[in-house]
Amino acid sequence: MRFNFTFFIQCFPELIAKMPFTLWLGLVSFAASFILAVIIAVLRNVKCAPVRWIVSLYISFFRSTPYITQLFIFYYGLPQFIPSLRTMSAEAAFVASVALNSSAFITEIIRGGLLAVEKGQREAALSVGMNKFQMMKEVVIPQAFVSSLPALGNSLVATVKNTAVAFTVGVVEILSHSKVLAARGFNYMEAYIAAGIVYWMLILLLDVFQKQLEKRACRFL
Amino acid sequence: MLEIKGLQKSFGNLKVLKGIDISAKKGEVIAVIGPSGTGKSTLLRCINLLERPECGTVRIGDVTVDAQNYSAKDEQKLRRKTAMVFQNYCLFKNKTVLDNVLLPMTLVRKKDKKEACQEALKLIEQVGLLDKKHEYPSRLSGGQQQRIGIARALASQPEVILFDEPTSSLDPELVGGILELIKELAGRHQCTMLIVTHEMSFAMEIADRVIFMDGGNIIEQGTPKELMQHAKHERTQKFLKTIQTR
Repeated sequence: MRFNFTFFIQCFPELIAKMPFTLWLGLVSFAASFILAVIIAVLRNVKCAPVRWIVSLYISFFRSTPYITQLFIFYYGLPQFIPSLRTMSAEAAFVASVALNSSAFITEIIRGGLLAVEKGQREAALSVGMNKFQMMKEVVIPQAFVSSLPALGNSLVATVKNTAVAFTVGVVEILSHSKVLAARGFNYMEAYIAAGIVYWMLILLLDVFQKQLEKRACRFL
Repeated sequence: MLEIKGLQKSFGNLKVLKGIDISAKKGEVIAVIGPSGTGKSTLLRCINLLERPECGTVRIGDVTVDAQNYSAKDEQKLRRKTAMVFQNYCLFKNKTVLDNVLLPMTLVRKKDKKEACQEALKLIEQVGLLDKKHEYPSRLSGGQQQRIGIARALASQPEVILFDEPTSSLDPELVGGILELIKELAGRHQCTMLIVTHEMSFAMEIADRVIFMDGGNIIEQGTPKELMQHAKHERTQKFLKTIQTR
């Protein structure tokens, strides 16, 4: 048994060609998760108690069950009961299920970020006569954002890597394409290592972006 | 001008304010003194409704708020008549010095940006930090931050400024400068000032009237001279004595 170096190198162009799609899938999922997480964070603080119960149930379920179970329920299970979902593409199912799953985590990150803003900052904003909305927009959210950046970065990285799970419902992304390559000549090691390296490069790219963003956002620290 | 009647506040079972009455004329400088934990800070925080009092009324100019029944709108109206200088400065960390002073003008008083900018720069100059106008608070010393805290308070053109132990977290060598600044501003700006402080000599020097609080009540009040020389209550005499011998 020996490592087929030529084949290994040949894998890259094809896998790299899948990078934009994987990145796109990850970013769309993350954006959807983030928007949903903000909505949940707001709903969590409404006066109506039943809404808060539903929200905590939601968070509890999605944090406590494996993501892949949720994906299967969503993609294979739901169409059984809701026929109109049968035409749903695997990509759409993936984005929707990631949004449901990650939002439960991201909403916790948002909560942590808001908690990290000192009480005095809110009081100072109110004391000069700002209303609650102005206080959040000008003072609290910009500071909360900065303290949640590292955790949000982690979430983004996790979401992008998670696209590999979409393979199980038939989305052709980096991992599933490497499986196709591996199967051609039974070069599993070569193909999967190449896939790993391509993921790695993708995340390195995101890291650079995050560092830049942090530098900008943290200039007041 | 400022009129507080029957103000009461509890935290759980602890009654912190047991019915406070104060009235102050425009431009009057009032120092509130007393031992720690007697509700001095809570009093200030009830005046701008950062704490919700249980009962009593606060009137500033034409705005009256009844503690038992007020809306978010009333709350904001009253807050626009006041400003607060905090013990730990509480500058907006994500804003530059200039923006800290600008925000109350542009956002709350809805002033034209250009005009507001000139006014803000003037205030920053008054507190002596014009060269720091584009710095973030994290780059300033405690004393400098408190100067901007005072400029921000003035920026909202309040009728009443509430000073909550403005020098308590400063290095001793910086205290004098801040007190000097407050004294100077008290002369220049015509707003009523309520100053909670442990700096007794400062209180005696700057205040038109000194209020001595203990156990959630106003025990005694009068001009600094009256209080220093002829305190009627034993509690007041004792407090002033311990302070002086320190």
